[in-house]
Amino acid sequence: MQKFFIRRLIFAFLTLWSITFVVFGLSRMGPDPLLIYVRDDSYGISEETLEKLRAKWGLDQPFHIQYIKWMGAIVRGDFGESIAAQRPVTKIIAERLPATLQLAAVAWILASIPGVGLGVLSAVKRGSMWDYFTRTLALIGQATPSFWLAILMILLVAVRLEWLPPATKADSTESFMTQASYFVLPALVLGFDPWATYLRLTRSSMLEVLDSEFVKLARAKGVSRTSVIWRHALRNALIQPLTVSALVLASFITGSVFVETVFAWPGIGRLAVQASLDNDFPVLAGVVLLFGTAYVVMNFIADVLYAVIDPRIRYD
Amino acid sequence: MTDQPIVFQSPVKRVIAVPGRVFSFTKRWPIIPLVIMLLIVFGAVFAPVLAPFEPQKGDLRARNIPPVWLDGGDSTHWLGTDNLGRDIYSRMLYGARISLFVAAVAVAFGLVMGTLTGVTAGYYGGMVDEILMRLVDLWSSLPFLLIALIVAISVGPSLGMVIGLLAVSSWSAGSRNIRGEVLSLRNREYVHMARVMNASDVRIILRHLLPNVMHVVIVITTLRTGSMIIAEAGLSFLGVGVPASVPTWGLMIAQGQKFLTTTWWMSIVPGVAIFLIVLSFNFLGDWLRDRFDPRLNQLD
Repeated sequence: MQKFFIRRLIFAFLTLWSITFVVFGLSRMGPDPLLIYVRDDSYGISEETLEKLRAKWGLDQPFHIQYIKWMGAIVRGDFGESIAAQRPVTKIIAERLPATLQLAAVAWILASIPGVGLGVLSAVKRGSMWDYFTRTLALIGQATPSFWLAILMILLVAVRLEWLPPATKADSTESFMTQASYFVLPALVLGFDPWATYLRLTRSSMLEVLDSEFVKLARAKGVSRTSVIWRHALRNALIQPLTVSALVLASFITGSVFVETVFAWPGIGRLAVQASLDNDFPVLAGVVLLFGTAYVVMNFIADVLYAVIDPRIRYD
Repeated sequence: MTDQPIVFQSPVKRVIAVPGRVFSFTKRWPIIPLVIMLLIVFGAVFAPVLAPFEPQKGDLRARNIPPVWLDGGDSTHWLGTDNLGRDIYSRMLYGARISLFVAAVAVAFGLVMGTLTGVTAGYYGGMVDEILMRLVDLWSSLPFLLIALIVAISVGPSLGMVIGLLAVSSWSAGSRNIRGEVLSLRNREYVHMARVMNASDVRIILRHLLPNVMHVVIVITTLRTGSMIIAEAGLSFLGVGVPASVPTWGLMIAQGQKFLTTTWWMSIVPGVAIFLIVLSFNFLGDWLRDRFDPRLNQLD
């Protein structure tokens, strides 16, 4: 187990390092590296000023020197200054991060509990109308782009029915209910795909467990149906959905970029898109590295959880 | 992908459950998905002939016309027009070209690379296998959407960039499944026989192994196509994909978002198209999987 753990840890660090390399390498890949700081439609800047700007960001130095300098700063926690906002990147991200985390937390609750519950129901009532309905809904979820689903929800629930506010996050001075109402739509959209994942996994592992000997024994002993399903079977069937949780949270990274963009949510997903449109490389690199780290950590946790639960994986 | 045990279902239940019969009919013979796919492919290929209007030319006098089934709809623009008076049907046809072309090239690249690495890793085993599979692991843990945002500012948005990005992001997906399949085939009698007959590695791989893993490749490819279409639309939607001068489904959804209170069909129509074609590909993929290899099936 220890050997497996160390191997995975080294691999996680290797992945992290490749992300920094890919981020930096790609940023210098273009025809003119200055583009990552300045929009190419910035008219009226003289060639002399452009040269000065190149020198300012160290773009005149060789690639490996630039990379080492950049990495050195990153390791020390210095992500540079935003081009658009003229403020340290770490400060901007710190301000925006809570909104993203809150949204992800709400979305996770909305995805996991109904996902597992409906997965159990659909396994127990296999072949019923209810089973087909939830599975069809899950199939539809896989084919719907999240950004379009978001727009559809805004159109139906916010514009037509006027039940919920269409976008953004409420001010923290507002009442709890008002603030909560702003969370509903984005969290539902962000959680839809993970919901389908939970449903699918719970259903399949529940079917497997319900077919096993110990469940048959429990039934033969005369244990009630409810107790067999919820106490004997579900406990064992939960393992797979639980281990996948780490991967589900990692999928929120991609999801939050789209959902925050559509709902104008003041989080870091939208910050990344904005930075990309503004040619603001320091901010973009900061967000990508943060997301990348989260991604790697989540994958690492998922791997370790799998190995703890299923010893066969360790000897892979 | 972990192997799921096959759960046997009582045949009696299947006959009683009416919705099940409808569901299994579409699974037995995916006519509807195939028709949808053929229609969209046909529309994309013959877009210049079929499109009644120029996709980029607007007629301001004809702006904001709703689709034909709504009040105020007009049969000359049966899917309506956008805020600049451009015909949505014509734009949809041209958009289909981009979506399908990008997805096809990206998937084809992924298919070749995935098969190549999967077969090599499975056949040679040992160090080769270890290195290739670690590489696949590494590759699948890179966040490609975020990498796309960086490429968008350094290289600038272009069709080639989108295809390249999606192509390199897609190759690792099938590699592992194909490797697993090759591992199980490697020690079959007929492979040993071929080796005894002094067949070269290349010949064994091409003549004996590849035909037998084709079913896995086909299933994975079909299922990947849908996610590639969504990925392309996503990049266009964020404004970091194909340049805005080309009509794409993702861009049309983004442009329509500003006019949700008035010209809402601008966003809804392209979304429905994406939904239909992705659903069709997924249905077809599921169907092929059930046909060829029930072991790959994770839904049941």
